[in-house]
Amino acid sequence: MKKLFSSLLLAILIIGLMSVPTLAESVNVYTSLDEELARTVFEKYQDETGVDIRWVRLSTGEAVSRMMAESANPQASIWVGGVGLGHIQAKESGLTIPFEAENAQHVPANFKDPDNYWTGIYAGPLCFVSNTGRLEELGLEAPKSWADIVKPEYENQVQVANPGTSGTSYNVLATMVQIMGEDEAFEYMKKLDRSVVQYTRSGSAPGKNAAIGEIPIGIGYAHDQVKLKSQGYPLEITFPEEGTGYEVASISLIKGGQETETAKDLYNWLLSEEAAQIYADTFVVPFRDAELQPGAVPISEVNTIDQDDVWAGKNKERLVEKWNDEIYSQ
Amino acid sequence: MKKNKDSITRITVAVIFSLIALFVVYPLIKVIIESVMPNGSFSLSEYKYIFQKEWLRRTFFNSIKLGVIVATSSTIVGYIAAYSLYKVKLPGRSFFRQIVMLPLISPPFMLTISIILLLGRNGLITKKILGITSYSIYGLHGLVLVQTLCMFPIAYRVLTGVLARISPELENAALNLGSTKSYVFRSITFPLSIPGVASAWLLVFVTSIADFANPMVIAGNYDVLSVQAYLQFTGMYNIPRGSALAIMLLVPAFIAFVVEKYWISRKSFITVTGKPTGAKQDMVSPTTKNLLLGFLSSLTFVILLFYLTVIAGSFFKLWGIDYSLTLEHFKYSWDVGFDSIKDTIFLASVATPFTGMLGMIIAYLVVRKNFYGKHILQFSSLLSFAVPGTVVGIGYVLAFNEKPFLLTGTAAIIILCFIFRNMPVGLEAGIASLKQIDPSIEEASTDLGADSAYTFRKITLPLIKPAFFSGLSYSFVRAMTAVSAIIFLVSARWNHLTTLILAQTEIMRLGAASVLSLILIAIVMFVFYLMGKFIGDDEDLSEMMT
Repeated sequence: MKKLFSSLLLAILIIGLMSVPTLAESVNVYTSLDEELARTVFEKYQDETGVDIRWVRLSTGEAVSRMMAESANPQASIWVGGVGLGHIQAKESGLTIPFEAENAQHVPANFKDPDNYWTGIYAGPLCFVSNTGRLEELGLEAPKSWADIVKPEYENQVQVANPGTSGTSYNVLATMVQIMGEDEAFEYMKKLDRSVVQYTRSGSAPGKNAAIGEIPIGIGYAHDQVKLKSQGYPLEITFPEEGTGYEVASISLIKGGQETETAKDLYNWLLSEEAAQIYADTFVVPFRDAELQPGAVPISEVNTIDQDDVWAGKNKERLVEKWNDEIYSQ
Repeated sequence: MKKNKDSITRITVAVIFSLIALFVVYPLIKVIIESVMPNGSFSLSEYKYIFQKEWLRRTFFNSIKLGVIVATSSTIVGYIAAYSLYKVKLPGRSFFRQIVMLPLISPPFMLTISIILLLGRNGLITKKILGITSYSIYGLHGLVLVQTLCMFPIAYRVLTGVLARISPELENAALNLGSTKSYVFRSITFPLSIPGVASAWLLVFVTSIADFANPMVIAGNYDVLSVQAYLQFTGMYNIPRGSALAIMLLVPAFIAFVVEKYWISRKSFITVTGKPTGAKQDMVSPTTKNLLLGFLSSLTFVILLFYLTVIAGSFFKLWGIDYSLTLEHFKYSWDVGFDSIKDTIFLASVATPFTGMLGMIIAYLVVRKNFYGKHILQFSSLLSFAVPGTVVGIGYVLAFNEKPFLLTGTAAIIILCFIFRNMPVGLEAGIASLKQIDPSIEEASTDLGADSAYTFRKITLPLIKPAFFSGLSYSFVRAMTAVSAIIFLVSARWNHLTTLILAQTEIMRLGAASVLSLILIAIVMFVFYLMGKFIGDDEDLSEMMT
């Protein structure tokens, strides 16, 4: 019995030792991309180059926090994906370094940092996503404007994330302030609060919940919803006619990372046509030309506001606090 | 000879003291310091801010309220279960006893996932069977339900210890003197068990407020301290605020723990030491007996139902919408989770032996040796029990992020966290069993010429083996199912299965979450089985396993 036990213990340790990193070239990555997309992208890169990618998925806010906490001893070399706002914040906090990748020339100027600290890979507009089955049950129509969604018939039918924890939701808040001006925007958010049945923590949760019918209407990024719709969920996607905000998912090199050279190669590859096609296959709309999935919505076709991400980044803490005080505390 | 022994003891004590100071006390101090030095100088502004802002203030009161409710409900359920299984001759006793302990070794999200699968808006019970669509399980009520189910075994464990040691002689005597069974309960059994009730209540209270996993998923808008501390610290990079919230969580937990350990546990109303003697007869009327049987059956049914739900959830394509059978979740979990599974097993396996050894060494020092600062050592070793995982996680990040202790992102920080957080389990088991061994056995050995090392190896060690191994299995389980501290310590290189399950649950991939939970529990059960076989099938020992 003792022998059996010791050999089992040995077996467990051997399994574990397999996870000790090998001597092959590797790079540590923080990613805020959707988990599945991240896996596909990084596996492709690994297959092509033999470089071992060790990655962990963190939301935009979590990633920025990690980088700040680790600034004395960064544990990763590159941050892939995540709302552009976060990348601006990271730049301003001195957490990232500039890098002009060769492929960056194909990215339109307004979707990359003028000082080359970050480069956008795709843009996604905010939208309303509604479960057609639930809408029918409730006798509602999909909302077509920000003004629509605060009407009494939508009370407690909407889910959106908490602006304090989700970049997606802060995007909504910032958009409203940019459309209406601060005071009016906060009046609006109070009305919206009546429609919201629950503030989720993650930005993509409302869409997923609408897809499975947990709630009738969610607010989120269009590409997430288009993907769900293509999987067969009964969803209707609508855009607010007053204009909507959008995210620019970006990449940045982390300052002080241990594998910066390898990370630069990855950075450039992430801006390539090949990578763009992988993004497109998961329903996002990359800046580079790629064959889009049916139903994917290019940002040019959506009525977007003139978004000032630098302003939004500078005011995030203040606006989120104000939101917590005036709306979340009821 | 004696001089050698003394210096070995002294060195060991010194080493242990430094280890505990560094890995248990230092991180705590860092958290306290961060919370009172928001801008580099001493200020209570963070605490003031938290109490001023309603949305932050209420996290504190929510946590306390939750703790009180769950402690009460768990103690009640635990008491009924303990009484039924140790004071009444019910059929199927051993079966019930096993099932009742299941939630203790389950992965933290298992019950939450089941509850969402059964009672969520797309739940099997709510939508499919009852056709309700407007009921939301998210919130205080869902949280209370899940926590009670998870934590009543803690109360149960304490109460069985107390109830089993109340000598039937007292109760028999009362019956012989003509009292009714219910009067015996009211005047003898229950009063004698009150310290146990208080102990159980306090322990569940601490566990409930420290809980992170369940509120993360099912609390809805019912904000609690553990979650908010995490969100402030990692989501908003507000280290002072996160630390302050963590300290606010620590204070009630710490107070409750100290009260339990140093006041209630001392008030032992146990009338006889060791195992009770005397004939056992049923202390309840036949009607009550049937009621209890019904209660236990329902409880067991609910627990098993939740397990079965998770198993089922692994196979259905899309719970609530598409009930076709599929293996895609298994494939997805394997792709996504393989690294995490490997890492988790490795980290837990490396940590466990050290945890056990450390616990045993400290137990031996505390029980058999006398030295300056013994009580301090014992107290600080148990500190890890009282400190919520959230506080430990934040503490480790703060403490080991700069030279000379640059450990963040490594395996070492996770392993150390496991060792020092789980050591009290082995320590308590070690102390309990060492106390039961009469020192005269060891003295006899040395009298006959053996040196102390030989005595330890051939006499002491074999006698404490059961406690040692039970300590090992529980340490392994706790390492495998840890969440609240680990979530701060995972990195690009080292993942943990529970963090992955949480992520999957948050994005509503309940199929994958179910599969990963099953894998986790399979590993845990396997290790338990091995340990059980190692100790041998002895009811005494398996009681000690609890």
